[in-house]
This record gives sequence, structure tokens and C-alpha cells, in this order.
Amino acid sequence: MTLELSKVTAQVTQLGEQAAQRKRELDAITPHVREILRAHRDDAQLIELARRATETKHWRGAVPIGEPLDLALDPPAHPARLSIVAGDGSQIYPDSHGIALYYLINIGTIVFRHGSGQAPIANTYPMVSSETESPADDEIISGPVVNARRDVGELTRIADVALAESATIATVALMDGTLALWVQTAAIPEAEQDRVQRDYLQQLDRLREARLPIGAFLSRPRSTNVTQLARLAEFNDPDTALTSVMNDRGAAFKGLRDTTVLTAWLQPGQRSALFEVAPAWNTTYRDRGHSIHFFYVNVGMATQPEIARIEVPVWIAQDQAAVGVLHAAIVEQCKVSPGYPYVLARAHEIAVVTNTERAEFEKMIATQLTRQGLEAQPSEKAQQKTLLANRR
Amino acid sequence: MTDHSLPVGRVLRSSTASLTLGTKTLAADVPRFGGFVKVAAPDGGDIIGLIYDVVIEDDLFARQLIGAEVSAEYIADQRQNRQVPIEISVLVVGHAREGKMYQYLPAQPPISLDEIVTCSDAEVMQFTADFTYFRTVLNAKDAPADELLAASLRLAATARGSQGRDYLVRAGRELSRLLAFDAVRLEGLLRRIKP
Repeated sequence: MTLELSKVTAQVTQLGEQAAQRKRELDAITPHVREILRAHRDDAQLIELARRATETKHWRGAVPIGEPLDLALDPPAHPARLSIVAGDGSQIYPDSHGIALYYLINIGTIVFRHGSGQAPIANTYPMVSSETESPADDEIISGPVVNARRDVGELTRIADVALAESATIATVALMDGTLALWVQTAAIPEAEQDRVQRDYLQQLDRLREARLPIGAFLSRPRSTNVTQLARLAEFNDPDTALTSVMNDRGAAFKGLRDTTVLTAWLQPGQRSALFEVAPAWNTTYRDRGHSIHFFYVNVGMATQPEIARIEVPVWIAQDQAAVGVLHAAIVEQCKVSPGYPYVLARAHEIAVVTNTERAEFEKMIATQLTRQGLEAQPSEKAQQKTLLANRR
Repeated sequence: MTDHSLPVGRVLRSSTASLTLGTKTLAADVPRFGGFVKVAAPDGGDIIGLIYDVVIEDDLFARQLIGAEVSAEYIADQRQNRQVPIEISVLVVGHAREGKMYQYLPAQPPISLDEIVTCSDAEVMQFTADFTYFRTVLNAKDAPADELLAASLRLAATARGSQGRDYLVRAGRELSRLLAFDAVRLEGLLRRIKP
């Protein structure tokens, strides 16, 4: 038996209708939210209110840092020579039904020397481990732990490569996704959370010491930080606003996304104002001097806008020149591969472990296990699943 | 003249009568249409074939660069760092074992990832001394048979240096015999190998 499409036809129809209905609702709200942001474009009182709302640790908005809320800024000229370092990672999760208990993390980096005429320098850093959850048992390491270690590995390699490159030429670093490390989950033991978070912050420390511009590129962000700010601006007095922040955790403006509001404002290449991320999870970074800030940039074309979110640490957000060179580099990279920087696409390609490579790698493991006189077979369940998956 | 073999690629898939190889980049003269290549046979000896097609596979990532104004770094990245998928098709025309050439198909095809190399001039001369492989090429269904045979004959003549003209004349006589009932095809072939 397989997916019988005839049985989901009605549900798919309903899904399409719901999406269209939601778009109509959001389209009706969007102009109102834009008006609010325009009306408060230079509102010092709103900035103060946003700061107070942040202190409650209940607010999920964005704190303006001085730029007009409706800013739409063209990128500065791209430097004639600039190195763009990007990195990405992939993994093979531990599989208790596989031929052996292991996990693999593969980090790929690329150094793109704009203006050099040279081929970029690509490299990979694979790491295999048979580590278990604790020495006392053979409990398998969870996927979220592998993900967290991969993310730390990515930032570490990016920092290594970018810092080495910056010794000879102006360099910026790009990573995929959010700048924050997401470890606050029950799937990761607390000791492991602390360890990976510490390692991650140390890499940010290294980058800050060199003042190396780093940006995390988030494609198609679903964030609502700016619309939460607009909601805050609607209140007539601060106390009512803060009470609402404390008590009302619902989505502002029916969950209207920042990108929906900004699409009409930002022409291709233009960026929005810079904001500081308010939610409580940023406290970890704020306390360490890396408070996460962000701006949006239109990396699409006139006919097809594409709004990306760029997250930067505070020490970059406060450096206009660094923000400018990051902005210019991202826009330039997206001219070649619209909507997503070329170097990040290549870093992903370099890092990804294909099914063929995985099969070859597992053959290596099987050979080694056999040499050691050990059995090297997937479980019967895994073998049956493979047979069924490969049926014609 | 070449007295040594150059790597062409590795076997992606094979059958008794034809092979497909993959390679990373195109060198100045390799692979060459009509060129003689060889690959180790599973039962010993070498399988001999003719390159009849070189295909640069479509790559959606590279495709978007065509419409963009790209600087030299992007082109260099695509050509030097990325595995540009190039597939080469080879028609098997015979095999060699213990120093002797046989112009009929080998017992087994080569195995995946076996390396294919060009034949040296000495090997080309030895193989093409016999014209039996003409029929294999002329009857090929997937290859442009006449163009392929003519290209292989021009290379065989070049390998013979000053003796090349005489070789082509003899090859032309053999073709006249084989294609006696197809004058149009014969004329086209003879024009292609005219010294």
C-alpha cells in the first residue's frame, strides 16, 4: 500500500482554501501595520517602551536601535577585493538498526575571494564518533545532540578559516540559519547544553576579538518580532502595554510575519532597519556581549521579491561599516543565485553527505568490523525496510 | 605520435557492446570523438573501444549562472571545484590478450569504476591492421556509425605517420567491398577519409 492520492483530494482542496483565506485576512491587516511603523518611525518613546518590554522577558518583539522603522537602504558599493567565508554542516545520525553505532558530522567551508579571479578554496572536515550518551551504558546519542555539536562545529570551522583569511585581506563570514544555538530542549542533557553553549560562545568571542563581520542568513524567516513591535506601538500608555505583554502571549495581528510587512518596502538589494532581538533566549548572548540583532534584506528580483533575515551580534550591529560590507556581500552573492548566497549554496553542497557517499562510508565500516571479527549487518528490520523502499 | 596512455575516466555502467564512463573535466585532447580507448577486462587482457559521444550533463545549479553576469571566480569554481558531470560513451569493438588483438566482442564487460585510458599509437596500429571491426562500427545502432568509423580511420592513419595515406587507401577498398550495395553511404564515408 502506498499514499492513495484520491483519499487526500478533499483535504488538499481544504488546505488550499485555508491558505487563500489566511492570505486575504493578512493582506487586509498589512497596510494598517505599515502605517503604525511609519507613524512611529523615529519614536524615542517606543524604543524606551520596547526596552522595558524586553526586561519583562515575556515579550517576543524587536527593539529598534535608532534607525527609522521604515528604513529601506541600498547596499553600499561592494569592495573591489573581499573574501567571503561560508560554512555549512551535515550529519549522519546514530542508528540503532545500522551496521554500527556511530554518528558523523561533516563540515564544509568555502573561501570566495571576490575580485581575485581565482577559484574559491573548498574544504571539508569530517568527524566520526562512536560515543554513547554515557560511559556507563550504550544509550544512543540523540539527534538534537548531534545537531548541536554540528552547529558548534560549523561556527568553529568558519571562525578558523575566516580568521586565517582575514590576516591578509578584508573578510566577512556567512553561516546558514540563525546566529543563536538552539539547545534548550529536553532531548539534550543539561550538561551537554552547557558545554555546547560555552563552546559556541567562545567562537563568537574569537570573532569579536578580531571584529570580523559575521552574519547568519535565514531564508524565508517566519519571525514576527517587528509586527510585535507594531502591536506595542498601538497602546496609548506604557503601563497598559506592559500589562498586555505580561498577560497576552497571543500572536500580534493574527501572526502576520515581518516579511509580509516589509516586502512592499524593500526594493531588490535594500535592507531594513536594524533591531535587537527581544525574547528571553537572547539573554544568554546579551550577557556575554553578543546580543543578537537583525535586519531584513530583499535578495530577490523586482519580479520576485525574497526577504531574508540577517542576524548579527551587537558588536557588528553597532559598526556601520561592518553592516555595510555584510549587506553588500550578501546582495552581490545573491545576484548569481537569486534568493540565496552563492557561497552558502556551495558550502551546503560541499558539506552534504549523499546517499552514495554514505553507502561507501558504511562499506568502510563493515570492512573494518569484519577484520575485527565482528558482525557488520543492519538489523533485520532495517534490511526489510530497505527491500521495501527499493521495490519498483 | 603518442607512445603512452592517458586517463579518460572511469566506468559508470557497461554492457558487452558498450560502456559509459564518467570524468571530471575535459582535457585538451581527451576525450576525443573516434579515439581508441582500453579498459581492463575482468578475465584478463584489455577491452578496446571507440569514443562515440561526449555529453556534458545538465546541472541546474550551473544553469542559473548562464543568465547572470558572473565574475571569473564563479566560473573557476564551477570548472575546478565542482564535479561537472561529463559522460563519455564508448562502442566496444574488440579486445586484446597476451599481445594479440581480437576484433570481436569480449566475453565480459568491465566493472564499475575501472579506469579507461587512451590506446597508444602502437596499440592503435596493431588493432587497426585488421579491418574486421568495420562491420561492428557500421552496424552500431546508438553511435553515428559512419562519422565514427571515419574518425577512427583518420586517427589510425595519423598514428602511421607517412604510411597513413596508404592505410586509408586500403581501408577505402575494404569499405567499397562492404558497402558495395549502398553507393550513397560508401561515397559519404570515402569523402570523410579522403587523404
